[in-house]
Amino acid sequence: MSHNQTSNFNTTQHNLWQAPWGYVESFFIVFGAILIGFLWQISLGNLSIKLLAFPNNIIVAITYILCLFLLQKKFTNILIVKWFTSIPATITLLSAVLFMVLLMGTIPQSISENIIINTLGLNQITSHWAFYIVQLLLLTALGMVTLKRSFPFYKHNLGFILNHAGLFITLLAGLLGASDVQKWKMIVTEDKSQQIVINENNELKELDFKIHLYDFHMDEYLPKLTVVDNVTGKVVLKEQNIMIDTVGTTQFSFQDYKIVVTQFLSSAGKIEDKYVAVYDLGTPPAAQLKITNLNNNEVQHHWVTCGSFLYPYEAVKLSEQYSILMTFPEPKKFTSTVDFISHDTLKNVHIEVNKPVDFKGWKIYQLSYEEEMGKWSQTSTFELVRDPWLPIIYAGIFMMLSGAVFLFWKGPKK
Amino acid sequence: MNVMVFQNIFWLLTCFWLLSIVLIFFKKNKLALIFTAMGTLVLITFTIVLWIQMERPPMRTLGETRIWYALLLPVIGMIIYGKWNYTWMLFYTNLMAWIFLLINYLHPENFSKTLMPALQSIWFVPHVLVYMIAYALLAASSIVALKNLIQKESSLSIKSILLADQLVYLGFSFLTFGLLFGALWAKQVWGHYWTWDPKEVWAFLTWMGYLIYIHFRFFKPLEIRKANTLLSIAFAILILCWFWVNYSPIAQNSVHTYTNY
Repeated sequence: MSHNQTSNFNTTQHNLWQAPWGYVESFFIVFGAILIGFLWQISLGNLSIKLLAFPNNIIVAITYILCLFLLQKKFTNILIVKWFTSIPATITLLSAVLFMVLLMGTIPQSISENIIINTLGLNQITSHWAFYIVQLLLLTALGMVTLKRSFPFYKHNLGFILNHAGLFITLLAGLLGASDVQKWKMIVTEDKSQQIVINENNELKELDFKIHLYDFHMDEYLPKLTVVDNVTGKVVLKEQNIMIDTVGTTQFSFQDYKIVVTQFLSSAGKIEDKYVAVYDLGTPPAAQLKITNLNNNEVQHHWVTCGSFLYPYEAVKLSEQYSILMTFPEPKKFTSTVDFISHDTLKNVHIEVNKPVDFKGWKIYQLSYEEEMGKWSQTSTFELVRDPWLPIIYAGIFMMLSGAVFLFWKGPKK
Repeated sequence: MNVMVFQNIFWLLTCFWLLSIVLIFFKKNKLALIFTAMGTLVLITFTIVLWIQMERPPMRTLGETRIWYALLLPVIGMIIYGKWNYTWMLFYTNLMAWIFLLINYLHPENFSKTLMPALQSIWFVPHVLVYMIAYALLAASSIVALKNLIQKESSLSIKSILLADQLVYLGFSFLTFGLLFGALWAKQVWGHYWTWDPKEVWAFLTWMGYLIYIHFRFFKPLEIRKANTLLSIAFAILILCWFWVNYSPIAQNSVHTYTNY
């Protein structure tokens, strides 16, 4: 095996660029490639992947794989081909990808005012020339190694092939398929239909089907109580917050105060200085608290509410320093009841987070709603995604999953 | 379930695990094993009760993942002790598990029932659980690496680096499962399998770190010291991925931050 042949080359003196290439040569090759990537980034700006849209990406994929096959089978003796399938190349390329991703993971990938970051493109690594170049080099090494081990095929290489080919397929399809991914947003109002979608560049498009929203419905968790510092606004309660419990009694302590919820209304309106159950647009939950000062046994009763887009909130001032607040109820589940209507099909479905629906080659996701309106939102926002390369990605992922089972089962070579 | 219950459990586990650590020190291995097992059973029971009472998997916050870690580490320690007879592994896994619970004790959090819609998925439990198993196995491998690094070169045993390899392969297979389950889930919930979200970036870095280690070991099986260093670095990346990313400035827009609720 090549690994054993090359494993002792470092012990004997050999000149730079003399075969076989080891770590030093690998470092220079990869460092040079990254340098070129940065120079291109500085002079050309971000790499546009639009050029690789269908059918160009298919042509590139086939040509690329054929080239790898040809190089691996017919030109095995070329130094660079040998290098690509060597372990020093693998480790150096993995380290190079690690380096680029490390930049991505330490420098915020958002608009920056720093000249160095902007010039070098450090805040847009995902579309950076250098990142594409090291990915391409790693992909080439991965492809060649996979082909080398796959033909002729031996059963004991199966785990190796699944791991390497799986990653190769996933990476290649992910890179080339990216320009074919379509992502659109659609905002629909209750009892209305919508056919127009918008993308992140604010381009509009009319679909060949429409979505009719019957109802947007949201279930919420019960609200929570918390204690904050009046000046800083920071939560000072040790337990962070206390969820109101409608089954048992809700009570907690803060410093010398004991707080008990004596009444809870899930939807309430204020009449004079107290709250009563009212179910109307924007009526928020409210709770009555019994606050006992344990120092002097003084008891007070107060109402607290988180308010809503329509009604103000009401807090309880414990002291000059601290107040009790009710937090907004968090969404538990939100569902849109819709019809998909095309010229030949009608489909009635519920769309929820984590439960997208397929229609006419699109995957349709529940994305959001009018957040300031909360559960009274009149609109629902969907995301429509189309990714024709997905089956290939899944094939790669499942190969890697099977490969991971091999790793688990067989473990390291003894 | 409130903070008080957890604090009592913590003190109980402190007794069990620290006692087992002391017992290992005095070479009373069998007894140490019994105390480790008892402590772990207590924590398993606590986790089950917590799960039932919260009406959701206790896997949302960093503190909750630390409980799983503290639960899995001694289990791995016991398995390694049973199979390789390394008592020192039990010593370190118990100590590490206890430290993780200590962090929870010092930063109490209310076990809240809320689970945002994005996390309500059949992928939630497998994704987190598989990652926790991976993290625990990889921690055990790093214990081997650090022990080897601290000890004198001459006393390095080939046997122990082989154990580290074994643990890395097991851990790495779970890590791969966790990463890919995450990708499949992301497609289901966010519309795309990979978006280079800060947590994804660091999960990928962790995965790459161990990938480099595996290839390095394959190539230079006798350079044990370098391998141990690599393994320690990989674990440092793992810890950064797990804890630092959620609080770091790069995670401001991360979709993986669930602690602030």
